[in-house]
Amino acid sequence: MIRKLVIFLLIGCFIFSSLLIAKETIILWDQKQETEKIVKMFNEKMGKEGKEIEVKLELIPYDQMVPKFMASLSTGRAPDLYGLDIVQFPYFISIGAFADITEWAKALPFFEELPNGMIQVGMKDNRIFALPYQIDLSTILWNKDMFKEAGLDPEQPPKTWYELVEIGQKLTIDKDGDGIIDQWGFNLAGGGAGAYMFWFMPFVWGNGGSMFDNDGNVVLDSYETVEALQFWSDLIHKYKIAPVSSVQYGSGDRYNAFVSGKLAIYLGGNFNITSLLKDAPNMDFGVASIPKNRGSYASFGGGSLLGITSQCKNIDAAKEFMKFVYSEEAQIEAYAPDLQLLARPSLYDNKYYNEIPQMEDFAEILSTARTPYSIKYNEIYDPVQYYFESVFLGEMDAKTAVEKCTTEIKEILGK
Amino acid sequence: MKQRNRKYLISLAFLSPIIIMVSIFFVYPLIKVIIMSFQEWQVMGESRFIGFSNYVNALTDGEFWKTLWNTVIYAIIVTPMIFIPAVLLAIALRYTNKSSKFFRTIFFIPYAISFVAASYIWKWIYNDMYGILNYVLISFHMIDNPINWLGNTWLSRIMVSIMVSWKTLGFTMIIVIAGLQGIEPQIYEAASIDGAKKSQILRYVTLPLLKPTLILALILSLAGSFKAFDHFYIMTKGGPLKSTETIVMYINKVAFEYYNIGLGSAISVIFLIILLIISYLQLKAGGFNNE
Repeated sequence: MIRKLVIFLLIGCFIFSSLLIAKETIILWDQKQETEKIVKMFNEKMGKEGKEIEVKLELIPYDQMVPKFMASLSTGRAPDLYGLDIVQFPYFISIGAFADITEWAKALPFFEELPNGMIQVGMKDNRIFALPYQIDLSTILWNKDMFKEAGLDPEQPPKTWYELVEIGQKLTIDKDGDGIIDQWGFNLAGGGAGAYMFWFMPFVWGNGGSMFDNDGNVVLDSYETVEALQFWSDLIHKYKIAPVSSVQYGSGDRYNAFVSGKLAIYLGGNFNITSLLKDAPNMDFGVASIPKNRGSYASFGGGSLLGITSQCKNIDAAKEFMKFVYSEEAQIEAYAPDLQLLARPSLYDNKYYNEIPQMEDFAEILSTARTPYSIKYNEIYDPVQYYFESVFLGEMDAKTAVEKCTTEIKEILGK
Repeated sequence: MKQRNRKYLISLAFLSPIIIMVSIFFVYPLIKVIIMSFQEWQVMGESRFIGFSNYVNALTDGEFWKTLWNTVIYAIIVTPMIFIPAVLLAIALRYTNKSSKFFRTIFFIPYAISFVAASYIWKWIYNDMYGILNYVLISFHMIDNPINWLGNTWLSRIMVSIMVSWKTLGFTMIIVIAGLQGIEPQIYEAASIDGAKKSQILRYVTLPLLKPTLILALILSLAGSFKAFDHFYIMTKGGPLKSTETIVMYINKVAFEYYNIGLGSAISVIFLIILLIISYLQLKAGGFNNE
């Protein structure tokens, strides 16, 4: 009896251990639930092809992405693949947290079409460590019904700063004559430096300015930045098309104002489209590039990059998954139905996007995407928030604020 | 001797789950934070000891003092806003009858909501474009134009404190009610027989006997307000102009946004010492050292 039991246990242990050894499990960390779909598709594909690779997705809340990654790296238990916030990559690449995938990435047939501005953020010393993955672009959204009511062409959003003021003034209305504005033409994007970077920097770029030059030098202290900062301040204090309170508004506040019909032109992005179609099904809205002045149209290329960590146990298996992520099948069947922006612009002409008129211009907007590169990006937030907010609240003039902000950023980068 | 050893082992067995829990989730992390505060901590690779450098950097950092000051101001504002109404409500609701049970539940409900949810609710209430507070005040002609409640340094501190008071006074109230119910009714009877008025009973009987409970409630309330994070993070993001950035927000920023775990740990240790000193002074003021 005992002999039989021992044999049975040994067989059980053998089967269990052979199962463990047989399947190569790749751990993927990501913040978006939609990734579950792509993982499922990949695992099914691997099963059909008889490959013993399985990807296991672990969803990480946005505000835990950095702390958890730091803890896992320090204990040698980092995931194999990580879809991390794009602006965090330069630092983690600088400490060796991601594997060099240069040759493999350049050999991918679709490499050339990936947004170059975002690829640069995943690079160090001309080597590639990560590729654009989930894309968030800053844009304006406008309520076409409000345009019609104000006698404006609903298909013509503001394209320049001048038009933004002109149209915004027509859309800022005291409907009942009680001296209180019931509908605002525009809102600033406040509520943190991240918002200023995402929505204000396109105004600087759209005026020909920049935060860094191609060599990484700080060039924020320019006439173009001062003018853009003054313009935002003027939208509140001079042209009065945005409430001063919007300096503190987070994305949710502006979104609620837009949905509830109190705001006509909204600083948002592609990520608002799905929720707007659900929350305001009767609203006729459009999406366009952020208005420009003397520069060219620009959008902040946010979202995440996908990289293989340097602690990955099976780089080939991880590359297999990465390759699948960018395949036409995965991009269109996993991401496009949720109207997520695809990393490959050539696939924007698909049945899911074609049903939604708001998606039609994104291939063009994506080509204007820019992302500032700094390994101390988070530390830059502090002076950006303080000095920019000082100007918007009327506490400091734009020129002084830009000078002081630039000095502090230089000090931070010089440490 | 054997009997004593057995008793000792049994009591240790009963205590072991909590000893293990406290060791894993409090003692070990505390020791680790103290060690890291003396290190130039590296995410990858070897961290090295750098003596008191992190402490020197923390204490000479203007932002540390500014956020500490913000926290102190907030604690000074919010503590009486929680404590005074909680004590008054507890005294009003000390007797157990149907109506007092109902009101106790009503006042306690907000405590069951998370700070995150409460912060979003009140952010909506305060919003100047679609918030109900401005709507009501304008409807009753109490103000002419919507007020940007979270847009001014002092006003935003007060408005966040109102939310915190609404949310947490129910908890303080329950502690005080428990303390009140612990006072023997015979003491009140004796005071009445001796001809004490209601105000005198409150002044000379209730409050002195309630002192330990009040000190406990005060320590919890003050410690809670010093650890403020979620509500400011959601409602003001530390603004306007960093005026509501608290010390815990700063620790989070230094450690997890600036990736400087060593400095973040040093600030945490300094903050812990400050909290210990405040709690000690409160206990001393409450006469706990004599017991």
